[in-house]
Amino acid sequence: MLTIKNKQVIDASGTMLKTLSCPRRISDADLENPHHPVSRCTHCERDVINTDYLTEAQIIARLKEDPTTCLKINRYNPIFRVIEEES
Amino acid sequence: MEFNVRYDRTYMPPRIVKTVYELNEANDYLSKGHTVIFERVDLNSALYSNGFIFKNRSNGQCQIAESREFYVQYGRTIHLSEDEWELVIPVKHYARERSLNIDWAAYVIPLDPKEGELFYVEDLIEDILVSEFWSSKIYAVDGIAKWNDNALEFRRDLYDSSECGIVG
Repeated sequence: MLTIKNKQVIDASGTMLKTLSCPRRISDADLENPHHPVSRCTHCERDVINTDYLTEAQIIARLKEDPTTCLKINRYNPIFRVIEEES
Repeated sequence: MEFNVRYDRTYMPPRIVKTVYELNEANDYLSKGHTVIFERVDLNSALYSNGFIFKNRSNGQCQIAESREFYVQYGRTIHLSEDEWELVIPVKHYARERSLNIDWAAYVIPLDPKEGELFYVEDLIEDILVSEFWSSKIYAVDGIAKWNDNALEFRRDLYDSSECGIVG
């Protein structure tokens, strides 16, 4: 399982894989094909990878290859455990 | 799957609107001076999933699937061939657990509500589809609502599908 805490994506061993650093609050409306495996963001023209289509191992491999990869994460994907930021 | 509204309640926790399904309970609150708002529980067609019961011709075991061919996460396709699987009946599944016996519920407003006061509604009477994850429906179970002196005005923006996602 991957943990998301304080905008960091952390693997089961505690290794930080990526910081979710998008400054915008992106919704499906901002993606050209929000339900496709890969979709272009209409704000920055970068590809956003839809993690619904990837296994945990595929996500880890992808982030190790390029930690700046933009991800679309569904909070209800059982691969992820989202810990809300402390206020 | 249940969706809970993402709303920071730490600074000033709103008072709680309870939901009751028993008339005796509603009457108890009315006798204590509460405002009680009765509403119909209307099933939302978007919360239904259609499927079929298929019976395996070899071992007699049954399973529910949305069709003879369906996709599961990570790009796998499952095919239930007519040679191996007999279609028994078409079925429906409603995502949120609802009573078949009654079609109403009531919100109990806290005493002395102020106009414009925000409340946390812990059990939403309305059935709202927020998002989907593969074949799972994600439905709202709670909400934040403003009291306008005779009704609750819900924060609809908290049910936007983007509330289920993170992009970054």
